[in-house]
Amino acid sequence: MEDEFDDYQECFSQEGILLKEAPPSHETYIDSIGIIIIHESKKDGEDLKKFMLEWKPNDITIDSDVQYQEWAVVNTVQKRYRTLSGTIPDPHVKFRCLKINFDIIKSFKVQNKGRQLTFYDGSSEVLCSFLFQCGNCDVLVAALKTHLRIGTSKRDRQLYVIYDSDSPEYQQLNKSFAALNIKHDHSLWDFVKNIKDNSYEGSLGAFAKVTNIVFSSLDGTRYPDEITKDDLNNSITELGDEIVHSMAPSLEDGVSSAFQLPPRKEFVRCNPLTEEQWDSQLNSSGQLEDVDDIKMSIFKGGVHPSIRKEVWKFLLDYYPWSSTHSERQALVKVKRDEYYRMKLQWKSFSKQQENNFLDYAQRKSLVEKDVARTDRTLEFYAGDNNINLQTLKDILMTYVMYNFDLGYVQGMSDLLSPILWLMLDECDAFWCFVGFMDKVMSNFEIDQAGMKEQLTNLHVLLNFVDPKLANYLVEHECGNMFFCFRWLLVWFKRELSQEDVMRFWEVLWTGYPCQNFHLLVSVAILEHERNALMEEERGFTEILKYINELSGKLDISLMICKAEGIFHQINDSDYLSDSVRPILGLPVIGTNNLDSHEQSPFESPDISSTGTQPCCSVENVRISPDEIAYEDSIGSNFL
Amino acid sequence: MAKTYDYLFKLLLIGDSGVGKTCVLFRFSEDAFNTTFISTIGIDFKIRTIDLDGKKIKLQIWDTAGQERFRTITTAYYRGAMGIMLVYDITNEKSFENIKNWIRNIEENASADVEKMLLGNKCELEEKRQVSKERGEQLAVEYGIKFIETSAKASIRVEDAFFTLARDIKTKMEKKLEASNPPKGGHKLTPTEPMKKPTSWLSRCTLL
Ligand SMILES: Nc1nc2c(ncn2[C@@H]2O[C@H](COP(=O)(O)OP(=O)(O)O)[C@@H](O)[C@H]2O)c(=O)[nH]1
Ligand SMILES: [Mg+2]
Repeated sequence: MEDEFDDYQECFSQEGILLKEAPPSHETYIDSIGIIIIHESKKDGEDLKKFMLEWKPNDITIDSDVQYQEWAVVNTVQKRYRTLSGTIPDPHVKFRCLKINFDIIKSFKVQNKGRQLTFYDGSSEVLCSFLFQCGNCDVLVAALKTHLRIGTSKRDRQLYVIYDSDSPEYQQLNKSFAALNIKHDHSLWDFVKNIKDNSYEGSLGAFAKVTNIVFSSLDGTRYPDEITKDDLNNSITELGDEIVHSMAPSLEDGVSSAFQLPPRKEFVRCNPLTEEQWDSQLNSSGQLEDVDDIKMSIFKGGVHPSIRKEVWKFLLDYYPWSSTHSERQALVKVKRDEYYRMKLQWKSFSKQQENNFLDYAQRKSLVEKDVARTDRTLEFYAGDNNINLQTLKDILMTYVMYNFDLGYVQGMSDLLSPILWLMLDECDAFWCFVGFMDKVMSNFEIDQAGMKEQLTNLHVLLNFVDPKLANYLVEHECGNMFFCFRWLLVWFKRELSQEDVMRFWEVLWTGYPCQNFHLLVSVAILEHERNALMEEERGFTEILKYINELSGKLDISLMICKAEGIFHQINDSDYLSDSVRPILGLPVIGTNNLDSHEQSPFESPDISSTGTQPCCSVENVRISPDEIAYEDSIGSNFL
Repeated sequence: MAKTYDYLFKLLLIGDSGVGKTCVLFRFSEDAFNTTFISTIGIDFKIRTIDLDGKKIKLQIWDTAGQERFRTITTAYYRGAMGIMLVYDITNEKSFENIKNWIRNIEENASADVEKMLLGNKCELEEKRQVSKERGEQLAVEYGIKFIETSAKASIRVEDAFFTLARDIKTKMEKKLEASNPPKGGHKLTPTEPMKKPTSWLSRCTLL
């Protein structure tokens, strides 16, 4: 098979897949996480293409970029090298991959609410079995259906049978495809093979492309005439539910009942950290006694405005938490010098220098444009020739010199504005801003990898907490969570009042109760708005508008409380998988826990987690031809 | 639900940051100008329904963030756009030079037959002008698109610009509809109409 393999090309892949059962040759990889790839034969036998299933363990390919088909980087600037991306070649790859030709696979079964997929040979013996670590096998099954002749058993809708090409059912289906005249549309195949992982981003893009292809296939223009569109709608309405159900029986209710979170505890906000509390924590040399206690108090109630200015310097890593009073005095002196030295660097540029330094000049012009559009409704920044705007600009320009690689990115002025408003001191504000930027740097990087990751993580968390809503968003072209972009880029700066944003940020800066707590707050808001979001089949446009218009209407204290409750639900969940843990900075505990997740008490597991038992009984798999509900009706409905 | 319009057009505003996209859109949708405006983060849209030759046309106009780095997110919205306003600032040479890049960006991300229009904004700032009207016209000719100089602040020709673009899209669309199918009664559907049963699209794709 190794040699034959060269004649195949990859046409589909999905990541995050745990090998649960395998032939003896690959038993050592059981419980390893890897990637499933489907290959098609390169030979143009058209209808008689061959397909091959491959699974390979994870450490071979770590490519963080492939899932983001929507995020094709279009900037002209050289991408910065990222240690986590890129392919690490491994000379032993071939020996570690599990490859099975689809000639041998005769059927497959979907179990555990779509989270487990098992392949069988002609005598109904298990060939291999996989657990889908995040999400389910819907996309993979869909891809298989696109290319193989597949029917379902009437008695067991979870069992799929792969037909030989000479079976009468196949011939009939083929005819209907021919009549549709879009079977060989390669663009269609192209997007199927682009569906990556359970990354909803991938599938989202794919679905959107389908609509385009369907339009263009049917009448050759982007504007389908009404007859075509109506016909299309009718046939889809008739078929829609049936197909979805036969394809993924558990798509609707399955996800939500796959497991349940423990009940949510109610939390309330406490009083802000007061001056007395703060002072009582300082020893004679001005050192804080119990930093964790302080941080916890801040998380629970924020900081009283009277000491905010001082406390933020700690929260933003300008002052080390362990510093003494005199150390801080010395530090401020040093930092002051450093700041003004950097400021002088750009202030002393001549006009000529600037003209010869296009990169710099562009940044400067961007800063000027944004400063003029930053919080101008606040009295502090209002009016023409406002001195504070000048300071805002000076700090941002000095930051450009401090971190020239990053430069100025839109949104930064939003992050600086409340800091300067509070500090009222250019130098202090600068160093606090540096501390804030260090926390959110990845949001602003040129490849936007940080933002992509956050949006993906947000969806993973939402899927864990409210799978129905998460699924709804995917089905309504919102799985990429783009509509939360502004929330995450500037930490809700545009959604909250100045006072609220300050109270919110200081909570987030504590790092309690977990990292990325702002994502849980986002989950809390989405869940809070779930009825509105899912109302009247809202789609992408409506959802974006709705979310944008939440600006100024959020009860952030309530959302923090809810998010805290959600955190404890997740943390206490028996089913917490390793796809969620790292997002919140919780230790990854290996795959054992995942098994308990997969085999939730809500259904009887028919696969032993040890992988030594046969997957299911022979009677379950063997089916007679009259039981087969072949889905040829699908084709003819479009005729 | 009764339809209050005959057509829905999805339009897009693109161009460098600070050229006045958001202000142009605000002028068109609310007929106002506000100097305290914030910069655009991410993406948003506004709606205005206009009357054009007896047809009610709902314009859904998308406003994007201009900085290069965010193009990764903004280009995701090019899909399905039927008209694109390319905006530059007549007082900013660089924003005019960048129009070429924006056009390339459109070619890579938007549908090939999208209607385009070039807009030179801030035209009331005559004393600060860096890009002559002739250069704007010339560039438009080069790309075979229409050109208008506008001012969101002084409310100059903003209406004209959107009406012109909408009319061109309408003409093109009706021509296509006629070519493929003689007109009939009832409402027309446009590709950007919200899909009522998106799951069916999904299922459809799995079957093809
Ligand atoms: N003088 C003048 N200024 C304008 C005009 N349109 C926008 N501006 C200003 O240009 C700046 C950027 O405008 P904005 O709409 O935010 O630009 P965008 O980044 O392209 O959305 C703001 O300070 C506006 O006040 C105009 O027609 N004339
Ligand atoms: Mg804008």
